[in-house]
Amino acid sequence: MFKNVKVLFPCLIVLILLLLVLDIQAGYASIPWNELLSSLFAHGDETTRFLIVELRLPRVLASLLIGIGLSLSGCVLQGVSHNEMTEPGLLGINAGAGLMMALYLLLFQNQSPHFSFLLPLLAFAGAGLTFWIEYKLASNKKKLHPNRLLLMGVAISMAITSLTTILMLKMPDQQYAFVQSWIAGNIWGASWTSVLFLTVSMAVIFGLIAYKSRILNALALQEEVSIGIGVNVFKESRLFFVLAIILASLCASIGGGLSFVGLVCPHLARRIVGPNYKKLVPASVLIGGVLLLVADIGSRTLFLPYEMPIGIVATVIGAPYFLYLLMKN
Amino acid sequence: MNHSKRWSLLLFLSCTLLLLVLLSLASIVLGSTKIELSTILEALKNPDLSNQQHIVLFDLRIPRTIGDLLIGASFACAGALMQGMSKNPLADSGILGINAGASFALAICVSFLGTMHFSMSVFASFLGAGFAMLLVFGLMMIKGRKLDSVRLVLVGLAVSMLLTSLAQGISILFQTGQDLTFWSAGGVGGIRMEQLIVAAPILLVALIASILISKKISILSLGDESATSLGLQVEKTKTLCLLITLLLAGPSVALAGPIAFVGLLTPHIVRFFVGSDYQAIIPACMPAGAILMVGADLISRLINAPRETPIGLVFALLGVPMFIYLARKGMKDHV
Repeated sequence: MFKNVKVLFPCLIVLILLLLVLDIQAGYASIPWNELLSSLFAHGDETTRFLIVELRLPRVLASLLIGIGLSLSGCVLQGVSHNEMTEPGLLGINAGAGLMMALYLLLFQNQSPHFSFLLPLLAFAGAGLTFWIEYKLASNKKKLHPNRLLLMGVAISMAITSLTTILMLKMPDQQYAFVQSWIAGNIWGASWTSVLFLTVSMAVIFGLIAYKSRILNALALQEEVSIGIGVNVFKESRLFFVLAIILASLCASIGGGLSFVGLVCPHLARRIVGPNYKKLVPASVLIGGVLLLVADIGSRTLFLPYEMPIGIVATVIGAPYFLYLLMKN
Repeated sequence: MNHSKRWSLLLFLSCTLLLLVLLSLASIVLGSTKIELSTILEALKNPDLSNQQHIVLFDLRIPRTIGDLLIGASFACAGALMQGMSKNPLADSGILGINAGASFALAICVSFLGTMHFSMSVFASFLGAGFAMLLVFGLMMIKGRKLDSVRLVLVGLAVSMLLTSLAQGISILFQTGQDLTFWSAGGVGGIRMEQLIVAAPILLVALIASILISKKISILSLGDESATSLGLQVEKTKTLCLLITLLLAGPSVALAGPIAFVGLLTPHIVRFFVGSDYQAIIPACMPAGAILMVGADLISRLINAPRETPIGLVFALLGVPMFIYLARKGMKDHV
């Protein structure tokens, strides 16, 4: 039944809306349903309103957006690079962001009051810088080879991860725990500004990718074939790489090192709707959103009073289902 | 293999073996206490267990150097086997869940049993590695499925990510993360003779076995259809290849932690010298991986003596630039 996109997409959208409401409700301080509604649509109790509008809602929306962004990024990267192991984290995006964070924490022991504002900026700078270096190293005479980019990405992210590990070993326990949970993937410091910024930039990139989904279909074929049907392979794959990386580093700047979503959601989508990017792009976007919302609910309710990093919950929920699909098909 | 390729392989092997002998000698001689060459000869002729230097030599330096050699060769060889079998340049023994299984087992032991002896942790991580690999293999074989390489990569990745996440979750709940980070940074400082006596025969047998099946891997890397039409029993070869990879990587991960660099990048480095035939890559990987490991371990001991720098950092700072240089040089030849 779900093979048909006309059934699947509305179902997923309804599911996302349901999960959004559930996710706002979930957490350490439980909120009765009537208060939830009244504070969303009218002026309810001041504290509850603050809790919902300023704390919960940005975080919930951020996890939805991050799920969407990472999944889309992985979907594009897998198509362009012809490699089923590709995901944004493989190219060192998370590693670069993590190193910047660890460096900052180690150099400026006293956390500045602007830390929550600075964190996304630092992460984005680290991720962007890492990709820029890889891109320069992997391109030759302005031509980019996807396989080389992947190998460079793996090598450089290994180097960066080791450096981060070394820095982490020098940290006091509390900082260590913070960086560890950030690297495992945690929505941290989501605010309305960052949600707004994420929404606008992702909408633009998503539009571009959806508009070019025919070219993406062609690129996913063998290189000779795509040249044969008149696609400028180098130019187009460069564009897609850059778009996917911008998307992933935006997500990493708020969500930390989530590697599972970008890898598995596109594969899940492919096993449900098939390889046509016109259907695959929306399907993986929706599946990514669903997975991260479920994971966010889990991360805030399962281990109270602790908060489990969302990346860990996403993997523990998503991996068995993915394995099941792999066994079935 | 044609004539010129055989010569380039022989040249590569003889050069690397020479370098390897020199490096191993250096690894025995150099360290926080320096040992003269004459002392080594004397210690080999009549060992004196009351002499401090002889004790360092027999208990620390020699086991450590042998460990480096074997582990480097095994990781590199396991990486080459996996890349050949899965036809994926990003594969290494880690995608079979070996590293993740080992760290999962260690996370459980450290969190529930507290700190433990090194030998115990070696045993635990080997068990974990074997368990993860059996899990991947079992999932692949359910309902008598075929060992399709794309599915193998996906199943392996999903299982490793699952186990890694569980390990991270456990270590966050029990706040034992830092103990585990020391392990995952990798290191061979704790290797003693008792562990080598168990691990070395397994590794040696697996290394020889991988040379023996290198011709089949070479055929396998052409793709399943071509391999079948060339008369290769694809399923049997793949199963054998997986088994050998476990025997190579399991004990190595247990002894030294997950050293991803050697397994993933050595085959690529070797490819620049001997070409893309696995019959040449697999034997050439062994001395090359061993050199990388002995060299990196030597530097990790000397750079900040008497303290040891984690071997992961040495690979990050020296190995990666070297890899990038070679990769770019190879690029100019191709384009």
